[in-house]
Amino acid sequence: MRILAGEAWRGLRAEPGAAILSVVVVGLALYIPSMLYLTAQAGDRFSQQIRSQVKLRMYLKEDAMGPFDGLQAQLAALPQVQKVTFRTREDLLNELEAELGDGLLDGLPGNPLPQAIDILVKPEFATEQALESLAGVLSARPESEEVVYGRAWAHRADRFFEQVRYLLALITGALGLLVLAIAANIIRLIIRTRRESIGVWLLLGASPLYARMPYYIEGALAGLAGALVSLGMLYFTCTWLSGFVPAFRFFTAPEVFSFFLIAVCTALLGAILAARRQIVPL
Amino acid sequence: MGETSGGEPAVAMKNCSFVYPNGRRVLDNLSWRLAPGDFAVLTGPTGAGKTTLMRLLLRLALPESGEVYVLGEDLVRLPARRRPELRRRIGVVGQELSLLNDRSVEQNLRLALAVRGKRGGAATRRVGQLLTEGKLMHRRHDLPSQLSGGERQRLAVARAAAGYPDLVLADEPTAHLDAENADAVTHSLSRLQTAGATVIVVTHSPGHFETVTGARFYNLQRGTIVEAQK
Repeated sequence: MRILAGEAWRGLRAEPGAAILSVVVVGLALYIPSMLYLTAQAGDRFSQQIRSQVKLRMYLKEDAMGPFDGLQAQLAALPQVQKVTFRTREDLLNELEAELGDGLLDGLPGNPLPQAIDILVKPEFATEQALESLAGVLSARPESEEVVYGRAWAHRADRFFEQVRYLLALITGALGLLVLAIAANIIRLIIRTRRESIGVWLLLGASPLYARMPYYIEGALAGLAGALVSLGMLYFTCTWLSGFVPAFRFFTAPEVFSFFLIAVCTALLGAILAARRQIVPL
Repeated sequence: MGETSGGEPAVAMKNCSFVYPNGRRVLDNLSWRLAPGDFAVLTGPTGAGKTTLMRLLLRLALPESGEVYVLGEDLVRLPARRRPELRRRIGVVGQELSLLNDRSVEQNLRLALAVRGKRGGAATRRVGQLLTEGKLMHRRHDLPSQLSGGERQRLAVARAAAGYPDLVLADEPTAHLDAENADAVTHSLSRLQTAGATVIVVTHSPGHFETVTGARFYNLQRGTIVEAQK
């Protein structure tokens, strides 16, 4: 193993320019999908914030008689519900006035609004389907006159986030393949420059797998060094962006570990693909 | 030394022919047989096909027709996965197997042992032995490009000897060497034969090998091999 690792190290030292270039290229190729991933994470956090404010309003029938403590307790016990708040007719009128502006409701003979209960939904249930289901449950209550919520908003938000996720997965996949192709191409070029030396190894009796090993190690090292470069760039970008968008955060420790693992495995796979094609039995 | 089984020849070529892509026939129905422990010196004019013959024995080329057996293996039918195993039993000196110029003398020897699975203390001891025998101990950290022609050839022979080969193929091992270095190389090859290896030397200077006990001289001409008198 020492001989193989030494051979890989010798190869990198023999052409430092090519080695640095390959590390930078792998680093950049890793940077772009990682930045997209972090953007998606920030988007998720942002959408989570929005979803944590999603609420339904259940208007109560005119003849529904209070107190509604029992009803509130039953609604609060629903798994989708984060918090319930009873709203008096006066609360709702004040809210409406605040929205429409002073004087617009002055001509009304009285308060036309019924009493209501606001139901704050847990963020994980703030999807179009879950909201529709909860609205159905609430509408079925005998006290319920009408249940309202931002149905159109929920639909649009769901579609938007679904499309963003799909697009990011697509771009990340494509760029992952790019990293693979770059690593494979770098190793292919390295092998071409050392064809004579590889021939000597094979003639000495090295098995093709043994002769390929240094290039697998070089591929993994390029992935590792590229990951380090990429991680540095990501850290600085995230630190800078979080000043403008607080939802932007750097990788967590397990994510950093996964990042290294994915980078090394992808570069190694590229090296394996290239070396298997280039180094064949004599 | 490994042995070929049941009195099998170390090398057997049967009715071999070889034609270059340009149509020139260099080997023509050639048959040749060497027993284990033979020391064969092969001469012939330039372009007679000596190097081609070496390539056939290394399974770097295949005959147009005929059969080639080396150390009991049928090279024409030998699957790719078994070729490394055969090559580990062959030591090569010369054109086909140049030294690695980006590795020191010691590292060149270590690599030859590493591909044969010899590492650690055993490899270190063997390298020391080879350096001593080849009178290269004082040059062990130098690159091959820093060595003289004689030292390079001695290193090539030491590397060929590293894995205790059953067959040694030496292509022009004494070319461009002064008498002293040529004698040293001849002596090293002779020692390999004494240890049990079959040695084939291709040379334009057969005189260097006349002192080798039991050496047999062959002449490759017009596509066939004829044994010559010493």
